[in-house]
Amino acid sequence: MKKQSEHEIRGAIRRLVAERADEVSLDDSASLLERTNLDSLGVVELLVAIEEEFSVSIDFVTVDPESLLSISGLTHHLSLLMDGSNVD
Amino acid sequence: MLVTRGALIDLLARHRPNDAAVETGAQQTSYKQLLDLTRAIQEQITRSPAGAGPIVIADDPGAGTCAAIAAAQALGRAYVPLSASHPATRIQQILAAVEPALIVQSDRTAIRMADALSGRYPLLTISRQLDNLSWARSPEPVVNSPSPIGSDIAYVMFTSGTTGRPKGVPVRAGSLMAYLDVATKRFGVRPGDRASHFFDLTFDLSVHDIFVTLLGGGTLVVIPAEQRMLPARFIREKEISHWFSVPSAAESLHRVGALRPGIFPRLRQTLFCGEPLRWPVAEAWQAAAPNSSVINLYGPTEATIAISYYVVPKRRSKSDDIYGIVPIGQVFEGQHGRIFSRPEAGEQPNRGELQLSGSQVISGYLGSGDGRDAFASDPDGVAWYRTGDAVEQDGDGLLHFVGRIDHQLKISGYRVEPAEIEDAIHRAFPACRSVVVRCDRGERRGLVAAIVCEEGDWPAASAVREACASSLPPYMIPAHVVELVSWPVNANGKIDRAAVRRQLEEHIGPVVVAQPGAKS
Repeated sequence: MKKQSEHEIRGAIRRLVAERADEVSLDDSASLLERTNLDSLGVVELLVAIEEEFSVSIDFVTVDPESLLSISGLTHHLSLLMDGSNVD
Repeated sequence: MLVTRGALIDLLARHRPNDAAVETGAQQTSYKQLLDLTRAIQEQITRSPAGAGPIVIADDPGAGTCAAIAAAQALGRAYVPLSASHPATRIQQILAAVEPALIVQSDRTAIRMADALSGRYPLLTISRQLDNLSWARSPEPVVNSPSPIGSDIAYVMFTSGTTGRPKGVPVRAGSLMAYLDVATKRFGVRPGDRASHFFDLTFDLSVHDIFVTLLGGGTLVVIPAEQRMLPARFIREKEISHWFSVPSAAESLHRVGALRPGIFPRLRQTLFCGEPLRWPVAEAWQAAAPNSSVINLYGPTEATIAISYYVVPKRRSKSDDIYGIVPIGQVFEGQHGRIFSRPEAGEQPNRGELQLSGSQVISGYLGSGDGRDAFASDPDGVAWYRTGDAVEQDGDGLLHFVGRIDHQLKISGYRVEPAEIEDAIHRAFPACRSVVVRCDRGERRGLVAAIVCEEGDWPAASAVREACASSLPPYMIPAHVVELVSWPVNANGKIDRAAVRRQLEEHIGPVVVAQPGAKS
């Protein structure tokens, strides 16, 4: 698995969000639940797509779901996850 | 044992005063503090010249709202909850419909709700630390318009209505007591238990959270809104022993693979209500919470919180599984259910609309009510509430939910009448006609508005959503807005809603769907 920079991760997450949400200019720190047309069901499907895209599994038992509700939160979480799971 | 409303507060006073009654984040409120606050609110209202109408509660769930609700019950008043997430126009409609004596708010929600609560009603503010009460707008010794809500009503919930306005469901104190009698016996909590407070106050399942937990002497643990979507960490960290939510919360955890065996060892009781519970989700939850009973409740707001139940067995039998969803079981003792079917029209006698009767069932809606004739009266005078839910009774007498006989939808347990959304869209865009459906497959999930415009430009999806947001609660805003060239119609020339849904679920990409033989 190729290690990705935070910049690349953010770009990929933005793309996955854009494929699902109809808001064109979404602030990275904005809540996906409050500021997009995605409801909780939509956010859950987005999270599953992110796991598939990066071939990682988020531990939803221990993670604070609030940290998964914005593009910046997701980027941060994925960066940590991929750092930990990738040994170059 | 039925208690009166006034006696509820005496029951609270019997609990250990230093036990935690309500926990919101790091803030713990003991039973003594809760009682003191309740009595202080009661005293403010009694000493003021505010009229005799209901008490509106405009605050997020927490100790303040619990105290305000307890005070309303002690005073023999109905309470009417509002949500800060609802638009001002909807809140104003509700205020006008109930003519409250006063509104109780907190300084947490005062700014967010300032527009919505503007007007003439007295406004009592509870401070964030729960140590101060102040009138933001003092009651005047003027005569309010008399409220249409009598002193026999415990609370009024507003649900989606087919007439384009929220529909008020007044629940009598006697109905609430009848429910609590069953619920505290069958699903009760005890001192030391930690029960979730998942539901918003505008959802009647919150009445169960508050009353059953506080009457039992347990601790009500408020789940923050942003944790509700995936609540696994909350349940574990807060050491919840009694969980109650819509099945959606479990469905989401199941979808992301979080319901691993044994992750909720402290759970002892799980209740689900508000929407169909799928068997795979119920079984995954049971495995995740091996020490918990799992109970599926069913009940429309009109029948007071829940009126039937089914205890999920550790091992399911074949007869329990019709259409892959968990039965809604049997109607509570003392309440009555019947299946309305027309065998003369070839319908099976064990399948039809569920009708309900008994002390938990309301006798009518607030005001003129709804367009639908919701109550059927027997020749002997017994009134039956027509739920609109189609059920099937199996050989063991258990009821299974099989669908709706009308177009009503459920979104995260909330009832949604498509007509109310379609009306909001039509008012904003008079040249357009819309049909709102719920999609469960394909790339568009959740509420989807399909629109056909006769003339002019098709409105942008964001404009349609904004129009909905100005008058409807968040769960009624369509997630997707799709333009159709024409409507699919059925043999009678009517718009075929099922076909609209199928098209939206099956079609990929930006949709402009044309259907052979369709009319515009």
